[in-house]
Formats: sequence, structure tokens, C-alpha cells
Amino acid sequence: MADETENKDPYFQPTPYGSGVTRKQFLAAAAVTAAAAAVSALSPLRDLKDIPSLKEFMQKHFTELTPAEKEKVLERIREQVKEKYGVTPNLTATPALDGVQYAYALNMGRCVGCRKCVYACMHENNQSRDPQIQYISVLQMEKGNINVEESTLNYEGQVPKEGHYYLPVQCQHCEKSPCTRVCPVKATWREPDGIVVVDYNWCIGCRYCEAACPYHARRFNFKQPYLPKEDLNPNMGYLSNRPRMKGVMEKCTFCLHRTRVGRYPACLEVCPTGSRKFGNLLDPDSEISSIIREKRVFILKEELGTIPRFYYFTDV
Amino acid sequence: MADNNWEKITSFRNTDIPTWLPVLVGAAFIYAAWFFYTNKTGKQQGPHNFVMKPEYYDTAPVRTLKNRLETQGMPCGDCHDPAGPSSNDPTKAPEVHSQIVLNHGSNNHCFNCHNNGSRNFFAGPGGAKVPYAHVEMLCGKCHGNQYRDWERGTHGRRNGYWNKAMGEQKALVCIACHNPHDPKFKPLTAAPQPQAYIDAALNGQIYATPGEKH
Repeated sequence: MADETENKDPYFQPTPYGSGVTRKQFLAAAAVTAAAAAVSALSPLRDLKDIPSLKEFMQKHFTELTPAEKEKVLERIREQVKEKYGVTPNLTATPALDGVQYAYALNMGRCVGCRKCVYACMHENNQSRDPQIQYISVLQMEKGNINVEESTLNYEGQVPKEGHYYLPVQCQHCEKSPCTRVCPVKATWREPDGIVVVDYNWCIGCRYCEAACPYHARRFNFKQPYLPKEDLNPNMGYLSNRPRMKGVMEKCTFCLHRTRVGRYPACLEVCPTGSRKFGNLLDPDSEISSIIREKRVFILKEELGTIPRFYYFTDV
Repeated sequence: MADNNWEKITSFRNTDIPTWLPVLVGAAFIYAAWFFYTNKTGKQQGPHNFVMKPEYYDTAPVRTLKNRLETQGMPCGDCHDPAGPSSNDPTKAPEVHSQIVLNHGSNNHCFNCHNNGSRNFFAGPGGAKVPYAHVEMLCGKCHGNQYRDWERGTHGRRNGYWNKAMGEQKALVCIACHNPHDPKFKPLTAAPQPQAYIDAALNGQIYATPGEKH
């Protein structure tokens, strides 16, 4: 094309360096390339779902909300749940009871490892079914061995297995909780009644707390949680079992939406052997006080100084 | 000096850039954009193969309790009370009760637990009548430690409210979990083991879900 017009076009400029690409062509191609690169680089943003609304984004820290603001937040979440699951939930933010310090005790001599607690917990707390999230890990241990490194989570069929005992592990609600200390945004903290909670709206998903926890009690939502509509438990608490989003941390909360209105946690009520005990440490007549006074009690990883509120015991 | 530089630059500029090269690079980027847009494998949640079954979280005790002493739907006293105390061998169940196999350690005497005079009751100390609803008064005759712990709430199951001021607390009785004729707690079938999440889009990478090894 350039050759034909060589001598006739007064504005003709010879192709400069013999490449066959004019400056105009090159710039056009470069512009297309840059646009395509920008589109491809930004295309993962198309996956973004549940972009927080401005109100959600501007929400204050949960502990700084006034009662009126708190009610507004709860109402917003009720609407979100209603939209996604078709049920208006009974969402509450029950405060800690006065004069109550919760503690949990588990009778290791009686636990048979049936995992009912694991599923009662899932049923109660609206965890993701896929990927599966469970708060309780039931470790199968060899008798005579307390080394959790040699335990297994994978056993099936009739339990208890010959020569084994079972060590269910969940959040220990430590008095000196390493997880709350490492949180860079204070999205997780200890409540006045001793329950360690997470505000899912405040969590940035850095997973420092998961790394800090010596009991592997925290679970992260790597993916958008999947919960069938019919599996949703509509009785929910802001700091416990309301539906979670992708990229936030969650864990056992002693079912605080139940326990703060006086009920037992779900894992305790389901235990067929009565191994699980829960109550108020400050009440001298409670089961938990009796266990600490009268039974052989131990805690996991005592040497770390985390002072768990979760005790393991055997009958004397 | 200046001339030499100019020559170097022009010789560099004279390198042939074929027309198709920038076109190809552009096409590659467009393909990449299309690939990321249409690639849904990373978004999929996989087959939802886990189904929550009610038996996994059933709070019913391992045994079904009746509300009276009976056999095959008939209160014991209907046959026995008119007949008065039995003079048969108290270690052997009569023909009509042959389905009962007693496996209660050294306790092999029917009337250790059943009230020989009044069969609608258990046998309390000194022939006292223990009603069905208070079976713990019977078991406590021998199992004192368990009875003590049960009273405190540290043995056996408690359901309902930990805070009795806020609601009713229900203590399950001995025979809700233990078969009195064969009291050793029976093995149970474990609910499914945790599912490790395996993502096909990430070459089978396993997420740190509960299935993670400790």
C-alpha cells in the first residue's frame, strides 16, 4: 500500500524503519492491548458478591454501638437473612448476664466419640455445609497416650474403638486468649462473661487469630459459605450463629444466644453419655463448680498459660 | 561521536517488528480476559454431597422410657399383685419373662430391684416401694458414687436450662441411658467423619477445614 502512493501523495511519509508498522498502527494496537490488559486484570472483581452497603461499611465497632444503633444493625441483618434464606430470623444481641462466668467441662472417661456434639453444633450454629465447617474436633487417642500429634479425626462405625479414648476439642475460651491479643482490628474479644466472640462484620480475614490459637479452634470461611435454606436455624445471635460471609473467622461461642438466656449449649444437650457439663463458675452449687472441687481435672496445654475455661475431667 | 550514537539508535530502530506481533499480544490479552470471565470452576462450590440427617443431632436418650413398670404394654401388677409374693427361684426368670437376659454383674436376683410384694414398684431399702419415676432411689442403693454425682448433675444428662431461675432443668434418670438388666453403656455408631474440602479447580488442594491433620 505504501509503495503505490509513494510519489503521488504530497503528505506521504516513507515508512520509517522498514518494519511495515506505522506509528499510528502501533499506538492503536498498544491502546487495544492496554485496554484488554486492564479488563483482564480487573475481571476477578466480577466475582465480588455481597459488596457491603455504605451503612454496613460505616458501621461502628460493636462494643461502641448505642442500643438504638445496635437495633438498626440487627434490623439490617434480619433483612439480609430474610432476602437470602426467606425466613425472618429471631436475631438478638443478648448482653452478658451479671455475676456469670461460663465454663465447660468434659468427662473423658465417658465420651465415646460418637460425634453427635459436632453435628448438633452445626445444626445450631449455621455453619457452612460446603466447604464443611465444624467447631468441634473429636480426636481419637490411643489409651495411655496424651500426644495429640498421634491422634486421628478419621474413624468410622461403632464407637468407642477398643484401646482408644476420645478428646473433643473446641474453643477453650481462654482467660489469657492469644487469639484476641493478635487481632489487629479488635474484631475478636472476650466478653464480660468469659466468652470469646468474633464480630463477623469487623473481621478483615487476616487469620492471625487462627495461627495464634494453640487449640486449632478457629475456622475460616475460605469460600462463600453454603447453607441450605431448610437447614437455617432462625434463632440467632449477632455474636454467635448469624450467617457468616466469605473471608471471616468463626468459632465456638458456647452458643451464647442460648446460654445467655439460661439454656444449655447444643453440644451438651445432645451428648448421649452426659459427658458434657456447663455452667456458672461463680455459682458454688453448679455442676461445673462441683467438678472443679471434687474431680480430677486437667486443661489442655497448661504450660502455655492460656488459662482455658474448658476443663477435662475423669470420675474419681 | 554523535554520528556513531545516531547510527546505533537507527540500527536498533531498524529491527523488523512484524505487523502480527502487536496484534497477537493484543489477542492474547483479550483471550485472557475471556478466560477469566468464563472460567467458573473457581466459583463452583462442588457437589453438595453432605446431607445433615436428623439422627446426627437427635437429642433423644439412647433408651425409650415408659412411664410405669410394664411388660409388653401391661403393668406388672396386673398379673402379679393378686398372686402375692413369688416363691420361685429368684435368680431365674419364669417362662413368660424369658426375653430378659440378666447381665448386671453380681446382681442376679430379680427381687434385688423388683418389689416382690408389689410389682408396680421397685424394691427400696427394707421392702420400701420405689416408684418408677424415682428409679435413682433404687440404683443408688448400690451405686452410691454415681447417685451422688447424679444429684449434683455431674453424672448423667441434664437438659433444658443451666440457670434454673430462667427455666426448667430436666435431669434424665438412670434407665434413660442404662438398660437395668444389662447396664453397661452400649457402643454407638459414630456420625460421619469431617469432610476435607478438596477443590478441583486448585489441583485438589485441601483447605484447612476440620479434616486437617493435627
